[in-house]
Parts: sequence; C-alpha cells; structure tokens
Amino acid sequence: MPLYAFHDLILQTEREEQGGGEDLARLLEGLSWVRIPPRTVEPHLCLSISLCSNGLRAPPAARELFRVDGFCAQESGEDIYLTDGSSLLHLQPAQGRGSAFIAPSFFAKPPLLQNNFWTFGLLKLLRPLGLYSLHAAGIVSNEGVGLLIIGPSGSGKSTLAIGLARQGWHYLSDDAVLLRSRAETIEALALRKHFYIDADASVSSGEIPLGEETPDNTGRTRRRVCLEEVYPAQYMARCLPQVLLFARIVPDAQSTLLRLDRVHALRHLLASSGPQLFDRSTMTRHLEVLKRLIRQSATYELRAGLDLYHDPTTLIRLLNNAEGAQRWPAS
Amino acid sequence: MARLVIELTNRCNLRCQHCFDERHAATGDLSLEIIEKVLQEGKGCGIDHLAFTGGEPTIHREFPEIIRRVCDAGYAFSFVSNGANFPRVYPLLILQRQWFAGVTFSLDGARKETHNRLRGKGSYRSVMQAASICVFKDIPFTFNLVHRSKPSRS
Repeated sequence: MPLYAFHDLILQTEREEQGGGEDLARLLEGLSWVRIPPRTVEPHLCLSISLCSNGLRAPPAARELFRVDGFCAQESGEDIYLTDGSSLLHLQPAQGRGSAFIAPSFFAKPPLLQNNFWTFGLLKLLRPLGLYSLHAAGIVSNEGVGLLIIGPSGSGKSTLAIGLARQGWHYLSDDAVLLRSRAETIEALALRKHFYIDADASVSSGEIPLGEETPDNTGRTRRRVCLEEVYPAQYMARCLPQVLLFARIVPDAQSTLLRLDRVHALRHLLASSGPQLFDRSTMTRHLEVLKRLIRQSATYELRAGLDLYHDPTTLIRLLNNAEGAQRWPAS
Repeated sequence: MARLVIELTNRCNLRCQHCFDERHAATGDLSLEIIEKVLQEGKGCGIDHLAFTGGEPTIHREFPEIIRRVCDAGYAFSFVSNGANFPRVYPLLILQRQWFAGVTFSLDGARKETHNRLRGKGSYRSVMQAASICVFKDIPFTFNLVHRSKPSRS
C-alpha cells in the first residue's frame, strides 16, 4: 500500500491488482505527490485504485453537475462521480476516500487531460481538509515576496513565471495553487510539478529543456517545460502571497500595472476559483480564505503588453514603481 | 411569526431566457399605498418578515423608501436579486443592518458561460461583483441555484 506525501498530508493508495502502476505513479508524482517509505501513520486520504473499469458507471439516480475536458461530473447524495466514459473516479470527500477504476484507454489520453481528470478528483478530496484551488501561477521574488499571477488560460501566466525563474526567482506552479488558512495568514501551496506553455512560444525558452507536446482543453497545443531540471533549487513548495496580479493580455506595446480595489479583486478570484467554489459544504470557508488572501496582499490588474512578452523582467520594474510597492521588500 | 413574500415589481433589468415573456412587457411597480397597508396589517396577521421578489425588486422606483418604511415598522426583510443593481443598493442594507436578513442572488451556473447564456452578457460579472461586495461589507447572502437537465432552451 504505497504512501504519498503532499506537503504535510499523507495519501494512502490501495491497489487491487499488480502491474501497470508505473503510469499511475508518474501521474501522481507529476502532481507534486511524493512517494514516501512505509510508516505507521493515519492517512488523511485513502485512494483505492483498480486498473480495470469493467464498465462501471455512476448510479442511475446521480445528477449531472457539469461536463468539461471530455469528462462528466455527477453527484449522488454526498458522493461525486467523475467519468470520461470508460474510467470512473468515485469520490467520498466527507470520508476522505476515493475509488478509481481506470481503463487502459485512460493512459492513451493526452497527458494534460489525464492530469486534469486526476487533479479534479484530488481537489475535491482536499476541500474538506481546508485546501482550495486557485487558477494562478505562484512565484517568489529574490527578496521572498510571494506573487500569484491570476488569469484564464492564455493570459501569459506560465510565460511570465518561466521568464522570472530565469532571473533567479523561485517558482511554485504555473497554472494552479492551493490556498489554505494558517493561524495568521493564507499560504499558497504548489500543486503541479510541470509547467506547460504554448507550443508556439516554446522556441523562446532558451536553455530550458522541453518535454512532449500535448493538446489542452481549448484545442491548443501545449508543451511541457522541464523547469525543475535546470532550476531545481528554485522550486518552492509553498509561499506567503503578498501581491496578487490579475493578468490579461492587451494589444499595446507597453504593459501597465493598475491598483485594483478589493471588491474587483475578489470578483476576479471568484471567477478563477472554478466550479468547486460553489460546493455547498465548503463555500463559506473558501470565501473566508479568499477574503483574507486579499486583505494580506496588494492587488493589481496587469495589462500585459508586448514588452512583457519579449522581456518578463519588465514586471520587476512595474512592481517597483507600483502604487503601494512599499508594502513589500524591493525586488 | 411568519414571512410574507411580496412581488414588488414586474419590471426587470435583465432578459433571461427562462423568464415569462409577458413579464418583460409589464410596467407595474407595487404602489406605496398597498405596501403601507401591508405594513399596518401584517403584524396583526402574524407576519414579521417581508421577502421581496420581482421582477428585480431593487429597481422598484421607491425601493429606498420602502426599505425605510419596512424597518421603521419593525419588520425584518430580505430579497432575491440578480445582483446587477446591487452596487447602488447595498449602502441601504448597511444602514438597516439590524433589520436585514439577507439577499439571495440568482445564479444559473458555476461558470460565466452557463450563467450568461441564460441571463445575458455581463450578468455573471454583475452577480460576482455583488457577492464580492457582500463578502467585504459583511452583508449576509446566499446563492440560489436551479438545477436543470439542460443548460438552456434550444
């Protein structure tokens, strides 16, 4: 029964048969789950995995919640079912339990979609433990200031994060972080190991090795960037966010950074928190975490122009000149 | 004690797919005289809470005056809203915090695309803006979601 650690949480996996586990192990490790030696410990989450789906389906009475990325989420009582038509993930978040029935066809899917399927399930299980996902890149300046770059796919989060990592900044994740409440602050945790950038933009990645190309859920081709191979020491598992940047690309030569009031900032955070925000049992606590995150941070709208695309260090200059910059150490 | 639901107006500032077409043609706001009569007789009928709906209740031409009278008469109040008019309304609620029981925002999807398809462009943004105001102003709110088998009329 292999154990994985995700930050300070322990996940116990149970396999119902032998063989074929390499794909699964690779998937979990790509999601920042680290295999740990056996120990006597009460796990936070239990996941039983069967590499045979046998045509299992959600109960007929289950209600459809939504369809996204080629999979369908259904709900029956407190149980959640996620299926792509052949594989099934049965989640019992309140019990911290999940059962996966994975068909061989699952591992033939594009890696990014495999990742999204699995990530959805894990995020659902993590919510009762007080961890809430946010669609954001997490980076940390040389002076230790945590920044979250928030925006939809294609808003330049990964490109910026990689550009700043090349300047010596630390990085957590390029696409999603987990937020959780500590005694005084809200901290952000890295969620995924690999970065994915637009395949067309990958030519400018310089010395950073590139992984396989994979289609994403919008039909574009993404390319895996192996940041940890060149900058292993710059990886950070967690940070204290002090700056929130809400990014959008504008057709201007120069980028601008504008102070954003907290109501508008929260509206953007709600939109970037995904459908799971509306989970009845955890929404109030989730909203409280977002509220505190905004209270501890300076919030800006980043209108990313061509200059930022060519030179990500433009962001450092913008931050230093920004209104409210005195709230964090100079970068 | 009981709650009385009052449809304050037939008018609305949105044109949602699922709403009655005839509502969009209507022009009627409930008169202050009728509301005053309700306020005078309600307590005697065991009512202590007025829940306003519509149309969009906050676009009643006398909404601030109605809220003032409701609170002066000692009724708790709540209302359902699409959130589009909320930035203009919320200061009233803070003033009358003692009587205000909460606002329910109508939400038709967790995603912008689903909600906007039913309620029109910009409506998701409005309702999230309204909820954000509530979070920072400590105004009690809930979302009301209707589960449907298909996301839109087609």
